[in-house]
Parts: sequence; structure tokens; C-alpha cells
Amino acid sequence: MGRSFRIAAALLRIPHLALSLFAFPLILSLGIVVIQLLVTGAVVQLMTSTARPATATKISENNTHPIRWLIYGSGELRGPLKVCRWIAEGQGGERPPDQACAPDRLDVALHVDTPASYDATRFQKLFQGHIDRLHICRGCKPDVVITPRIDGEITSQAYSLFGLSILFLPYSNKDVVDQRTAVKEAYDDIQRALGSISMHIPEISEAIGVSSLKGTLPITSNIALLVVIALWLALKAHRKVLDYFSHNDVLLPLAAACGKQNFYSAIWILTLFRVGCFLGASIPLMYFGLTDIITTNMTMDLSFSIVRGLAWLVALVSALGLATVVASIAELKHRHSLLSISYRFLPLFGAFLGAVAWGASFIVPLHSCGAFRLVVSALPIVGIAPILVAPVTGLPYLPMMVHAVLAMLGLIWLLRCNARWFAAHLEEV
Amino acid sequence: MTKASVSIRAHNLVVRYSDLVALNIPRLDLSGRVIALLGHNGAGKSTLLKTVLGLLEPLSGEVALLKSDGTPLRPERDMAFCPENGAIFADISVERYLRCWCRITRGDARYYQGPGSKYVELLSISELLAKKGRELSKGQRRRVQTALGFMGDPSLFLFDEPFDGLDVQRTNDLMEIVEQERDNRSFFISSHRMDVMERIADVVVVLQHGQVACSGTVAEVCRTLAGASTSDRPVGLTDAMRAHLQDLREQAFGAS
Repeated sequence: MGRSFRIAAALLRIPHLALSLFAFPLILSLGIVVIQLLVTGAVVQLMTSTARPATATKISENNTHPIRWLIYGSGELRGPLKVCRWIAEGQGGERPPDQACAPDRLDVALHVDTPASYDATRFQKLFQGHIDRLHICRGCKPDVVITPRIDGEITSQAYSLFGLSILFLPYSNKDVVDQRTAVKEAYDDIQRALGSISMHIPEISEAIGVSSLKGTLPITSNIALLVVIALWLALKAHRKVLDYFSHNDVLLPLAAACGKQNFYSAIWILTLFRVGCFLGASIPLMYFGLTDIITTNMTMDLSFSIVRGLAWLVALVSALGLATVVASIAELKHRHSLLSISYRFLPLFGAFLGAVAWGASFIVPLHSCGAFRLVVSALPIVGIAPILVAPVTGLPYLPMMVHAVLAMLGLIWLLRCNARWFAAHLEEV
Repeated sequence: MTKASVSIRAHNLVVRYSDLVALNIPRLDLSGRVIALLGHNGAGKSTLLKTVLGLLEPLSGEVALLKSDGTPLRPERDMAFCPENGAIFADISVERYLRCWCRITRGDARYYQGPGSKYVELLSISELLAKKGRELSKGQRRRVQTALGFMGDPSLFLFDEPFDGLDVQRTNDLMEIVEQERDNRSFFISSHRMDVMERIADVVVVLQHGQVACSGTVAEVCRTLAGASTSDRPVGLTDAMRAHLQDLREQAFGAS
């Protein structure tokens, strides 16, 4: 083993390998984790905003708004809105009615054919307190122009970012916020009346906490994605080293000089080192990121059991690990075939079929469906979907552990066959 | 048998690539300092080399290379291998590759500047040290890989088609190196250059379609190839094998 470590350390000093194996994919993977956290944060915020107490969203109570502050330097409501109906002049021209109606960029214009008689009450109400002047004209052009057409359709054009911001101010009008608040209060009332919602599945002793899905789903999906990225990195690292060596005709002399066992062990050490680097960097990032998202957006107790979490993680890693190795071997063995690209999707296809069968069993009103779901969950490849969502569905330990053991056995068997196949087909790599 | 000689022993050896039987050697037992493997392209020479190195696993049977005292040679400890096209990473310099190789095989990245420097001189690769792999010719790549092989101080050096594509001068240089080194180590050389091998080999194995067509000392095989009397011919040769031997004879000595 010491010799394998020495070989791995020597290989790591080759700049191309060091860069392609570690630096580039590490930066890329960490970027993916950051994006994943940002998306999770946004999704969680969206999911929890509808459940937040209604009083927290009453943004118009204090009559200040950040957009007004950005535009005018003060968040306070503006004074009374002045409506300026422009007067037609000869040769198709027009002018504002008085000096106080001199157009400003931050005004809003209504483009209509008959400025003198157009009923603009609706727009006055919308922009009251947000702008100083509403121009009703045929062609004047401040930063916001609203054009009501004869067929009833209305278009709004903004000619600057400030103009665009003005178009969003009416959403904070008191009557709108009051209505939203009323809806939220009704939602909260329903939630309070129903309490925490749970779903009972025959074969699962504990009920599924539907209300707490907002917390368990982001955690589950983020950890699952982390495992997927780690396995993807492992697969790519293993391939990359072999491909790099074989493209340079160095694979055979190196394997001969190091000894086949030592050489393969060195490649696995590099692979594990790469995955370790990724996990070492991404787990703290994900832990603090998720903790921040969950504590900022939720007040609920997630009650995530550590033992249960570990059991799930073991099952998930072995399940996805087996799928990765199956895909890798299938593709490697047939890489000279035109259809080789399709082989990598074999486990995905199996998992999809399993997910469909597992999902469909919920619709079929038979008692035996519970046993069927447990069997599907325990089977490697086809049971990946139930394992992925196990923290949400509260899958019992037994099928999770059976799945993990079967997947690990399959993994070991495949790796042994893989090593034998590699030995016989080294030149084909 | 001399101090540095090795023996190759095969017993019921069968190696297959999918449906193709690449090697089928019921029995082979030869000793010498320089063992030559002769045969056309596809005869099974490279397959035998890789099987000996443990890079290919036989379907059945076994093959072993033994020291003069009968102990088996271990590929990673006692052997070095130079493939047909040489071997070097395209995007790193020869010197960096040398350091990497010495670190792996000797545990000392600077070995090539100390005790190993004689092989740098012997193979004339000093002027190549700054060049990257992609800048080297096929012959230069082979010289680099040969020097690397010597750095490990192997008991046995395996060459796959080392003379292929070399001009007369380079061929003579390489033959001279083999001559110089044959006191220190043995060589197992696969080639289809009978003209070269008859000058440096002690024993020769002629392969045809994965089978041993004939084997023995250079003199014995040359007699066979040159059309010696029926009694001198190897036993069990088929007509096809005889036709192949005739081809090799013509290739080596000309149609006359």
C-alpha cells in the first residue's frame, strides 16, 4: 500500500493530471454546490413565504418603500398626483397645459388619441403617492409610457431602470397589500385549524409529516445531489487517469513497472483523494449554507435523527455507487460501439422503471402494494427512487439496509469482474 | 546457462481476445540471455510479452520467466518494458517524466542524475531532457523509455519491436547497447527483423498464428528457416507453418 501511495504522489506531480484531476473539477464542483445552495435558498424562501404570519408581510403600513427611496431619495409617499392633459397644437404637435406640468423623466405618460377626454381614473389610483405627474398625451415621452389600445390591450414601456422600478410600485398599494394580507390570514387560519398534516402509508409505521416537507425536502435533495456529484467526480477521475495514460502510451509500461495491483491501487487512491478533496470543501460549505437557510426561513423543528440520517446516507452512497459503476463498465466495455453513449443511461432507465412501479403502487388500492413497495425499495438500481426520498417517506430501516447490502455486494462483484476485464483488455481502455 | 540468463516456460498457455485465440502454446522451455520472439504482425508476439508481464491474463495454462536459479521473475521488481512506440507523456518534458519515473521505481527523483546518469549517456538522451513528449520522434521516444527501463536495474528487459522504423545507424546503436548490457541483464525482444535478431539473440521463438512454429538456438532456427534437411526440421510442423517459415526465410535472407 505504501508503494501505491508513493506512485499516486509521483503521478500527482504531473501538472496536467494535477490540474485536470483536482483544480478544475474542484472549482467547478464547488461552484455547483454554491449554485445549489442559492437555488435551495430561493426555493425555501418561496415555500415559506406563503406560510409566514400575515402581519409580517404588511409592508405598506409604514408608508415607506425602498424603490421610492432609490428613485427620489426618500421612501415616503409622494404628494397628490397631478394629472396633465396635453393640449394639441398645429401640425400634429402638443404641449403641456401649464408650467407645473413640465415633463420629467420620472413621470408616467398615457398615450391616447384623445387626451382631453380620456378617463384616467384607473391609472391615477394606481400611481397615487408613487409619482408626481401623470401625463395624458399623444406622444410625450418620460421614462414610462403606457399605451391603452382600442382593442383593450395595454402595453407599458420603460426606458430606464428607474422607469421599470416605477411600474412595480403599484403592487405595494395599500388595498393590494390588504387583500394579500387577508388571503394569508385565511391560509393561516386553515393551517391552524388543520394543525400539522401527516400521511399514513400501510407499510410504514411512522406517518409522513407533509407539513415538515419544506424542511426535509431541501436537505434531502441537497445531500443526494452532493452524493451524485461526488460519484461523478470519482467516475471521471478514474477514467481521466486511464485515458490520459493510454493516450500517451504510458499505461502499459507504467502498469508493468509499478505492478498491476500497485498501479490500480494508486489510481483508486487518486480517485478517492479527489472525492475527499471535494467532500472536505463542500460539506462544511453545505452544512453552514443549509443551516443558515433553514434557520432564517423556518421556525419548525426538523427532528432529523442522526442514526436514520446515517442509515440513509449508507444506502444512498451504495445505491448510487452501484449505478455509477454499472454505467461506467457498460460504457467502457462497449466504448467502440456507436450505441456506447446509451449504455451509461442503463441504470437510470432501471431506476426510472422502479420509480414508476413504486409510484403507481400508491394508486392501486391493494394491501399487497405495501409489501411490493418494500421489495422495490430493497432492490438495487430499481429501488433508487424510494431510497432517494427515504427521509421524506420515512422508509423503514430493513429495506434501506437490505438495499445497501445488496448494492455493496453487487459493487464488489462488479469491481472484481471489472479488474479482471481490465486485465484482459488493457489495450482497449 | 550463464549468470544473467533467464528461462521462459509455458505450459498449456491459451490467451484469447473475445473469440480470437491470440496464443496457444502447449509447451515451451528455453533459456538464454537474449531471447528473440519472431513472427509476422499478428503472430502473437506482443500478446506473449504482455502475458509475461502480467498485463494480460491467460484463459488457461501459465507462462513464467525464471532466473538461472529457478526463482520466478516478478514484473514490477525484475522486469522493464519498452512498448513499440516508446512511452512518454506528450505534454511534459522528458526530464520531468524521468523524475516521475525515478520517484516511482527508485524512490529518488534525482536518481537519473546520480547512478542512473550512465543510462542517460548510454541512450544519448541528454539533449532530449528539455523537450516535451510531443516533440520527440518514435526513435527518440523509444530511447527515452529504454533509458527509463534501465533506471530500474531490471534483470530482464522486454522490448516490443525495438528495431521497427530505425535506420541502420540507430539499429546498430541499439544492438550495441544490448551487447553492452547483456552481461548485466537478459533481454526478451519481439521483432520481425530476423537479420538483426540472428546477430544478437541466443535463442529464438518463431510464432505463427499464436502458436510456436519453431524454437531453439539461432543456428537451429536458421537451419530450419534456410530449408535444412527434413530430419532437422522441428517436429509437428504443418504445411502452413512451413510456408510461413519460408516467408520469414525470404524476408530475412532474400529470395535467393
